[in-house]
Amino acid sequence: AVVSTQSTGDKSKIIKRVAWAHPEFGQVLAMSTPQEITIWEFTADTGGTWTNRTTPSISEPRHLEINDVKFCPAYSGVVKTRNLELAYCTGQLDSGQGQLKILRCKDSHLLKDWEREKEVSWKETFTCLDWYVSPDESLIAIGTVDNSVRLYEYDSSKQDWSFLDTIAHPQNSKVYDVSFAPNPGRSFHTLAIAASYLQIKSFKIEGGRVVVMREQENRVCEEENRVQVWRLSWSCLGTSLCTTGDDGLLRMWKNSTKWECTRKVKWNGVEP
Amino acid sequence: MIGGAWITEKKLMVLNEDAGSVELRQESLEVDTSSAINKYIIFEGHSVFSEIQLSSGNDIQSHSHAYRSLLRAAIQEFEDQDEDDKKIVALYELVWSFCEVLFVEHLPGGCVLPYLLELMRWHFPQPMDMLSEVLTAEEPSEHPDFWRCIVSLLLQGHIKESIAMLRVTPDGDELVGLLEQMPLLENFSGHSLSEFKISWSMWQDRCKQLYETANFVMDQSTEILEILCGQLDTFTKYKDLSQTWYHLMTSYLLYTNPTVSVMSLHHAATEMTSVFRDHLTPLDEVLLSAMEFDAHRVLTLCISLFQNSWWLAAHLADVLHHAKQLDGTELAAGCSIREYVLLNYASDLIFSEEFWSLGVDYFIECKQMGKGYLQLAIPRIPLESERKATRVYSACQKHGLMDLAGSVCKVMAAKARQAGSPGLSLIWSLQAKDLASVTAISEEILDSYIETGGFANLEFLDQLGSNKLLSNRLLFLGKYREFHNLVKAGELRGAADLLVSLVESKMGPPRFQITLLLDSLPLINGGPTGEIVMSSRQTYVLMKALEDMQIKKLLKEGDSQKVETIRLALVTNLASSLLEEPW
Repeated sequence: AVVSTQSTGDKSKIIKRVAWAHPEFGQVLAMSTPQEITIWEFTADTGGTWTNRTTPSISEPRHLEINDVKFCPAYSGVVKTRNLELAYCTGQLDSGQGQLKILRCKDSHLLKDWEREKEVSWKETFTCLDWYVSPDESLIAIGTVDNSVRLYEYDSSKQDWSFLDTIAHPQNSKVYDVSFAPNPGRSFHTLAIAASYLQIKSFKIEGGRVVVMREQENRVCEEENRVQVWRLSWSCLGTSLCTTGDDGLLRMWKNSTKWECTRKVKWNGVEP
Repeated sequence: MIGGAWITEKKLMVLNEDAGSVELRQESLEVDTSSAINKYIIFEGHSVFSEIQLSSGNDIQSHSHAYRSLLRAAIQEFEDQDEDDKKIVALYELVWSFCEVLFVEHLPGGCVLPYLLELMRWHFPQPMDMLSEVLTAEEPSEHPDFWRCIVSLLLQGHIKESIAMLRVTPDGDELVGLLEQMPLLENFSGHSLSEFKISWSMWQDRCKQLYETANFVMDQSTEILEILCGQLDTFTKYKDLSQTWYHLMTSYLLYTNPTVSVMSLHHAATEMTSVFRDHLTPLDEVLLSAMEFDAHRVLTLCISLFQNSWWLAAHLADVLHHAKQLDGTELAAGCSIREYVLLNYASDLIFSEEFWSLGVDYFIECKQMGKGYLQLAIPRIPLESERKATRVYSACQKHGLMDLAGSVCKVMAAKARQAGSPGLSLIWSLQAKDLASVTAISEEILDSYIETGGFANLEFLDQLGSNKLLSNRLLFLGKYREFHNLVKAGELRGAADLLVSLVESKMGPPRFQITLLLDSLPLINGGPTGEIVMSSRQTYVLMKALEDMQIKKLLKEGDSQKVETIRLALVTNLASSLLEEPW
């Protein structure tokens, strides 16, 4: 099924990120180009078509670029709020500004009205983000250009998002992707960070601060970790991680005593 | 540019972008479990596993026997099946048997040899095969394998058969004499172990005495006697008949220490392994660890030995746990080793089309993290059909996972809505007790009536029963349809009563009032038969409702024509009804 075709050659129209909403909302997709976000819905009648529900689209002024968009995920099969929430982050390398915006959809059947729930600004560009949601807490991790990952937390009593702490300082590198591991009920979080090399961080939140733990178990096998990592993807149950690297290879990782690369895949299927 | 996204825990979709064109390919880490023998052990294994949990691990010995039986049955029943799969199942049976006798079985007197002999006979049927071959020859004693056959029979303790063959040999009489007197454990019940040991020592002394004095015609006869005397060199010479060190060990023990206890097995084993090769294979390590009673290590080794298949580790860990052989220490993964292997096995099953419901059962038995994993896995089970969704829903309910059950319904409701089946969507939303959706869909159905002038497929409303009460809108929808049915059936008075009550109750969406009023037109002014159906009071109600709509500005611009028509009709009806009604 083709969602939309645009071949204007216009760089501002390149689709950078795509995110799926939880299936409880049906087949709903968010697509982001550097300047705008559009929400698409799939209707199966008449052979099946994708319709753009957001007109006008959610857009940003020219000097800012939208770098990542993610729907609020379900916690363990339970969609946290009846409404759809969407978070996206922006940045501009030159001006050094970054913003996190959280939107809420008022009518999840129509998908038309998205109102701004929260806006956070920072002095550096935001490059990527990921949500973590549970009945007890909601977090958003954001990768930046200045070698760190910023963590924001939702306070349900104040009904507001606020900055929590910074975690991980990958050396000399822009963070290209962050992803929380699916949590089957552990008392700590695990975050994978794609930067000049792969980093996995497990942490707890204690006294309003991030406490990194399990550093031994989260070491990544060095031999396979000398490549710039672009994107991450955790398996459904969080037992495997797959990364794509600058060398054009896809790597699969599993943890026994530390993170080992169990498989490498090149496009034509030949394992290098 | 390459990219990947997970489909299930073991399947990945790989995407390649090259010069503007994008291709997709599936990459699977799954082991193919589609062969008949695999399906058999998966289903049967699940039955035994469930039994164990129900009986809280009582009588674990007979459950362990049940596992062994199913493995043996699998190997025999699927004889013409995939070779590789069969070999693996045979290996499962071997490992299982050793673990059973070392960790679970209650051995009379602690004697492990009878058990081991039976095991070797089952896994290595070659001696009996050789026997049939030799006996069917014209001149058995001339057959090239004649003596090798006798040796192999002796190595497996087939004493009677060896006697029969030795009778036709030149030195047979003396050897047969000895063998007929050989004390065997299976013939010694009712006597104490120490009595047996004495008898047996005396017997072997006689063998050794004969060896000193014997003057045999054939060298092979001497070798037979050497075996009876327990001379290691001869056993080693015929190691090819044993094929493996554990068979060799069993044979050697039969003629050196038949009352060997389970505890001393490890010592006997370490002598034997070096006879065959100078390094230990992974299988060797598993068996040796079992003989050292290191259950934890056995499981760890099984995991790496059977790389992609968790069947053995999972079921064995469970049995060892119930046999109290595991101490329940927590691994780095945050749970006991039993739970660790069960979780891994369940993860393999949960995303499979055939075995997902079995996977649920295994997850449920993992008391620490099972439910957590189910919460992650169930939303990813593909719900391709109504039937499957219903089954997943039932499974969730059965195990008290109510949030997940509700989620399944909501997903199906959304699917139905997007597929243009509002009725089906309504049913799933009701099951999820998702009032907001029920109301929203009811309104959508009502809106589409306004647009298209008709309802599609609302028969299901008749089956909803008391569920209709969950939402006002749904109740309204049901009654509105009832109104239409009454009109169709010609019961105009009843229809009028219902319509007026609907207008009065304001149960429906405000914008729907105008439609209701339009629906009254056929009932006004005597309807088709000329009979006055609507009373004056009822007419007043409708007129008031029309006025309310105008006051509250609920009417649209294009409606003014309709309003006029309704007003005129109501006024006329009012006049007619007043004339008819008694004062």
